Amino acid sequence: MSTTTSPTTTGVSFAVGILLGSAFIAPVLPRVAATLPTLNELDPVGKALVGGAMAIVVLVFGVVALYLAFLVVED
Amino acid sequence: MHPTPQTLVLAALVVLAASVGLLLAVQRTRLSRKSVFAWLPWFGTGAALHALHGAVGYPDLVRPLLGSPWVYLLAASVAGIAWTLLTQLTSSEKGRAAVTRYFGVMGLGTLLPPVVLLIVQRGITSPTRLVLWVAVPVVSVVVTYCLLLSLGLWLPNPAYFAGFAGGIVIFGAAVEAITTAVALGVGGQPATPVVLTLTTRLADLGGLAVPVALVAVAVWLRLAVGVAVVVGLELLDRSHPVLAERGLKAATVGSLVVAANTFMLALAGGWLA
Repeated sequence: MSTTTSPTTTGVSFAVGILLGSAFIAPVLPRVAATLPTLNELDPVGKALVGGAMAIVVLVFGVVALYLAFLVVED
Repeated sequence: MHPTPQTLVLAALVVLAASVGLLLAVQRTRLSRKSVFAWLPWFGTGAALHALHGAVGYPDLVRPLLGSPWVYLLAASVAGIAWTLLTQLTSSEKGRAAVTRYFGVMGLGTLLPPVVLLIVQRGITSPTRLVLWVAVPVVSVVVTYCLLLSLGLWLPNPAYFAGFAGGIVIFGAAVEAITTAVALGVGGQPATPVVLTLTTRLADLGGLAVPVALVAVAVWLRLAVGVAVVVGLELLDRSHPVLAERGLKAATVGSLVVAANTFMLALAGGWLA
């Protein structure tokens, strides 16, 4: 493993990627926002599903954060 | 007859893709195995956007860009621009050596927003889908590990030749096989027309009952194809090493793109209840 990776550039690359990905989904965000129910409208099952979806999102970001941390520590 | 705005958008995309291809050719871009891995998240982004296109529906003007195969051309073009910028903006030799990693990390960042939107938008409407978002990749990792272990024990040469790339080829096969099985078994609908056509014919030939037979045949067929590709490329490597290496890179990208497309479409589309 090389020691040439800069943690700052890695972080900036990741942030630029997030911005790019956000630009890709920007056209549909208003439609999605319009279709999503508010938390008050959901029954207990719906609330549990939202919690589950959030848990998976946190899991996905957690895996990515661990990977990035691994890169920095390894270098 | 005047071209529609959608046609013009597609024409612009083709011009952009051709320009980016030319740009990459001028730079004499060489794809090592590592740089092929770095391109994978970008193609994953294409799959996620394709799934979003089906699930949500983009505005009319940009809608054609998000259909298959154009969305992959779009993802590859944006990735090509990012690669060029990273390469050209890095002046030091040390920095250039790390470009592949920055590129891969950027691709990972690009992949996350559409995936998160898919999970939030589709996940909260169906507990099955929500569970499958985690279950399919986890089970696929376990299946891949078992297959690689078996391959290493019984056929060590292909396992040694393919290395991590072979793992990705088999992982892609596992994701597609399991998604297909779930889509056929739970949803009662095909995950991909290709797999359905093949499995229906094989099931008919074997006189097997549908749909249980379809599920079994589809799963084993796709997994067998993944392993056969790795073994076949190692055999090719003995006489044509350069061709085998290129084939492995193509198989790596192809397997993961097809798997990501099937997986995200199955979870975002109407195939699973």
